[in-house]
Amino acid sequence: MTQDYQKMAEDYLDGNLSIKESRAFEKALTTEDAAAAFQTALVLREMLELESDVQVPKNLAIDISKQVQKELAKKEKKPKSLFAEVTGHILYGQSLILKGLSFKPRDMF
Amino acid sequence: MSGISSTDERNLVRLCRLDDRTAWDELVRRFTPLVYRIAYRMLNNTDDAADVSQETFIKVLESFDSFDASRTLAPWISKIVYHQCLKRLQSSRVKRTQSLEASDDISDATSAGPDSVILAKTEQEVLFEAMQELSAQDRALLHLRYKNDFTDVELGEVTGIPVNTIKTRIFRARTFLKQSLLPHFKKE
Repeated sequence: MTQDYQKMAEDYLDGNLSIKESRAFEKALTTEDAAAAFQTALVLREMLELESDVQVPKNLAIDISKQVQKELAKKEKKPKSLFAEVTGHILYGQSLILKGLSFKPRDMF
Repeated sequence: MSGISSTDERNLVRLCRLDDRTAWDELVRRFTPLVYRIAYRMLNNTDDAADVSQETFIKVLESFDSFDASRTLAPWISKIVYHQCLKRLQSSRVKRTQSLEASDDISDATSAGPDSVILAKTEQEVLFEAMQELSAQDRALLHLRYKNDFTDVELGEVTGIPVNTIKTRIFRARTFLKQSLLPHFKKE
């Protein structure tokens, strides 16, 4: 029964019980077992919420920022895409060929 | 700089997409505590946690285009750090030094009188020791749930674990902690 109360207490605090189940649990809270289960669940939650925060190393964010800025700089230096660059050259070459083919002596005058 | 530090997340994401350097600094500043604390909870080692934090932000930068801007950043970044930690655990480079760093991590949990600080510290120490018995995955789940208020759905997104399994895992982890802490509760 204590196990049941423990699960009910957790579900109650998580809001997983229906209205009917919640009322039933609230009534059961007058019994010692249910009250103890509820109290334990509450204390544990409180402890987990109050668990002290791990200290973040002082300069960690600055160090990470430097690294991210380096990566950003690399990104900027990189050509947008090799594919785009090659395609550009090919198209430029083709345009020269086409120009050549369409060249007529009268264009000279 | 004051402008960017008060900007909302959506605008920050927009600026980061444009490779705005100040925006990236701000993103790192805002999310370093979250990233580092998840990493530390999972790896139990300050050096590894710092390394993984750095790796995480590089990964964030590389995959930023895949971030769905209609969502919030915290679960997405948490997912990246969580997976980086799993990788690190797999690579077994994590030294299993359950160091006494824990004591450094325990800050003044309360502003009450000295007696209650000592009591709070003791409780925290007991909790910390019990937490070490849990898997890294369960520690991450509890941390994200209780310290960052992540919902079950968000926890599912971060870990890739089905929501029902998350509920069971959290329930089991809490039951384990209760059992470990029970003798301590009874003493008081």
